Amino acid sequence: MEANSIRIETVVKALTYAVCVLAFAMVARAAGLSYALIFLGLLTLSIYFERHSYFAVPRWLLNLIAVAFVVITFFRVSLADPVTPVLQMLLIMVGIKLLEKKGFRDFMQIYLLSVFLLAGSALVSIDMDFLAALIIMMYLLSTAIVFLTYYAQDASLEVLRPAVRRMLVMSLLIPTIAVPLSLLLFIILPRSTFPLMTFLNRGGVASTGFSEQVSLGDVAGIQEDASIAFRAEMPRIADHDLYWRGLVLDTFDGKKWTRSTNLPEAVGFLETHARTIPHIIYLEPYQNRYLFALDRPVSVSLTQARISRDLTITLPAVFERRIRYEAVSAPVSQSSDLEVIYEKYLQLPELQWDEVRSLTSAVVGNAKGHEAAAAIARYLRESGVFSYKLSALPLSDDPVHAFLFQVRAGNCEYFASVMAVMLRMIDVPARLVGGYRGGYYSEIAGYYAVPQKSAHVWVEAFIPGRGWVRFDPTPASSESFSEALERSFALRIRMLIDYIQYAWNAFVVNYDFQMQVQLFKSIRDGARKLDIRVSLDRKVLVITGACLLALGLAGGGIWHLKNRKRPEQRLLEHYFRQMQRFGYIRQPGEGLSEMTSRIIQSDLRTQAVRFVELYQRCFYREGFFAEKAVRELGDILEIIEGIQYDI
Amino acid sequence: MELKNKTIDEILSFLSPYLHGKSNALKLALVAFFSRGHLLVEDLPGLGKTTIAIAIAKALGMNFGRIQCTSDLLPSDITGLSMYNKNTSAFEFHPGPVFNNIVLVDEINRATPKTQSALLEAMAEKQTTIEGKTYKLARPFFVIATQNPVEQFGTFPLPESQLDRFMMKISVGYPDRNAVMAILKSGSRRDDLYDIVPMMKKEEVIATQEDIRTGVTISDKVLDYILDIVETTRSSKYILAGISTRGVLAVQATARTLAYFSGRDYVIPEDVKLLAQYTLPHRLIYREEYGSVDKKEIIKSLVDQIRLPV
Repeated sequence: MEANSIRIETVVKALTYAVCVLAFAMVARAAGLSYALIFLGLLTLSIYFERHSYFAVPRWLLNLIAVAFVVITFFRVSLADPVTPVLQMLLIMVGIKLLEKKGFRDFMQIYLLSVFLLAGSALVSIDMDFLAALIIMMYLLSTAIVFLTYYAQDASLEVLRPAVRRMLVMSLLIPTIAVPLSLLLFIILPRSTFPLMTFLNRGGVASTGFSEQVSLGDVAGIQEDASIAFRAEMPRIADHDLYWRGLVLDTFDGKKWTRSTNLPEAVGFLETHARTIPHIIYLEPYQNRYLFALDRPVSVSLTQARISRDLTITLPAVFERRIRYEAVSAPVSQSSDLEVIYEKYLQLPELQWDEVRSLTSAVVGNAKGHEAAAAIARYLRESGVFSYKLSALPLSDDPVHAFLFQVRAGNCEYFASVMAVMLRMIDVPARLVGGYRGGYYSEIAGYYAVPQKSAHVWVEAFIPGRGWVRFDPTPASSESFSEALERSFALRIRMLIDYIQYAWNAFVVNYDFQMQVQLFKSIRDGARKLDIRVSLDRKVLVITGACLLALGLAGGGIWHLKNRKRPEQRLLEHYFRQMQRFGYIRQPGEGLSEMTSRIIQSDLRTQAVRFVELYQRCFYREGFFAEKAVRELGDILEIIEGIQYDI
Repeated sequence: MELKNKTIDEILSFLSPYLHGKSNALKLALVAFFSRGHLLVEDLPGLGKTTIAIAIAKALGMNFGRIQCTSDLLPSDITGLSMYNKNTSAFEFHPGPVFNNIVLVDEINRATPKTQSALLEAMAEKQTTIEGKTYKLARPFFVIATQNPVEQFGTFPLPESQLDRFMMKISVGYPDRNAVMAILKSGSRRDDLYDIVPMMKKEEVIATQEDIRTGVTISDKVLDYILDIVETTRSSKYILAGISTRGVLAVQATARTLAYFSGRDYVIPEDVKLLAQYTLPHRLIYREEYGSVDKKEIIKSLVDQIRLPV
């Protein structure tokens, strides 16, 4: 074998292994550790056999094992999780296939199985990395198949390295054209209104974030969790309005707050004329059925969602995919309720709370209603007696007492619980609202990203004539999302990454029939009005812009490749430019060495003759330009560039 | 391939003192010689045509024969004839001047067509048939024919078909002032030429000819260029009949030789281009209305329009 040539078989095998490894990487997590290990074992074994090709496992044995796997899988498939066993089976089959002595057919089977694996991984979870993997897979496969065609012609073919490079470039052209086209197809192919494959897609494994109850002292990892709970697409609003309402808790047993479901609500409304803010929420699954919206929600776009009187939005069942909904909220700190079921919101546990009672009356004094509530909130937040902390929380059978009189520190749950208890003691109806506070605003995309750690609990007190009024007794609640933090560089990067994730979810994963109809309608309207800027909203612009850009890039790439100049052509043009600098312009019928013979300046002529001789040797004798020659020609040109015009 | 062009260079530099200001003609003559073709020199008398022929013959260690053509020259004067030998009572063949390696045919257009064709047959076939017997000519065999372009009375101009058999047609031209001055000062050095030591052996010459024929690469790009030229001559408005296939072969062979002389084992388009004015004009039949135009210039302007492959 020549040093400069490479066996086509080596290229094909390298590409095949790359395809397999990529497919494996996409399903490794879903397939589970043991299957991943088995596959890795098979992979290592087959690479070992490639290097020491004196031994091949008999094909019948491998087929037998494969059939056995299929049968086993068949019995393991269940309706609850049909995907994983199939993925596991496919993975093992790829591993087995790799062990075989491979012909054209076997390579194609491996590619097909790998594509199945990739497609299967999308059923488990469709994240950004799927797109990346898909594009890489397209490139790898088309290249591999091009080389495989050569391999099928002659297995022992050897190709020069430059030729391999050319073949690579040419085969990369296919997906470069295909990717923008498929992007276009993605946009225009009709969608079904009902997501058919959702039952398979259990992915993203819903993180446990918000729980249905507030247990004092039972701190989950939530407050350290920087992962995003949801994103809200909306204009920026004042920080003090950023309360994301989740669920309302009304029943306290001394240690934990729960939500009573069967108690009726009083009806009666107060007219509010507050401005409303529509916003779109992209909510990550968190294994619960409560939806979040800016306090206080007025309506939600999901048909299954129900807003109860206490403004808790619930879905009929736990959702397992990321969901998107539009909500309209009025950011006011009071509600329109006229009446309230007093016994529901004055409920207190049977505990000996004399100390608490006396403290309450000391704090409240003669104040009534709103003033009383404000006094309690002030006492908890601003008196300096209590501090905010996340660790070493007061744990006891009576956490309220422990907080008030012993530890005097806690998280928002303590502050809110204590305030609600104190309010109920002075016969002010009170309830806890669980949700999120604050969020990082992304200026580029125009949305709030709310991390899990912003989970928050606050208090609402019923004041006759003003309805439910929000009180936030937690002192630190404004620190966790200060603007200084928002400006820090690391956070900006994080927000940018988050934006990409958001865009993926908003424009790709959630691209459904409704959005499609909207898109086409706005394009049609835009065409009709001939005023695209007005009629197209930003999303449409982004999508079409991205498509046009992709198409443009692909077109440009093709044009570039087609009109690409060979290195010697570039060198020659460079040479002519240099000659022109000295006043020598080549006549149409003039040869290169004829041209050099016209040169008078001797140092220039020496270099020009060197250049021309080498160029002609390559061009007329060898018929091709070796890399070394190209380099040398470039060097000569550099010398020529350095020559000064000498009169 | 080891280039022997050093020897060629040496020959050129060695001979130039003897050939005041005729080195270009000498070089072209050598190109024709090493391309295994024949040379037609068209010039006025007394400009050194014979000197060139003698110089080549002597420098390359060849035999040299000379034929002065007249209208009563017979074919047997060229080829030789059998004479009766009284002692052996048999006819003996006496070879004519054509059996030399280098034959100078002076004023070929003065010979009768019959004689001309005897000569031209010898040139083409490299053999000659006398009295039913075929004799191989010497190798290498090189004819330098001269003709006087001005004196037209009593001449038999060579028809185009016979001109085609000459690989190149050159003219020596007047020597420049300095050269003439040198000649005047020291006299002609023709006689000294007869005493020079050959620089190459006959076998070496044959080997070099073979080397050139087989060892010099001519790429498709250059062949394309040659064909471009050929096509242009065939479609040009000045020209009635374009270049023959023999002409194309001549172009290729001379280009190879020139490349070899330049120390290359590959042909560049310039080799073809440079020689075009010597290899082409005499092969073409021009339209009558352009008969007065210098044929070399026509070819030059045609070739200049053809793009070189670079």
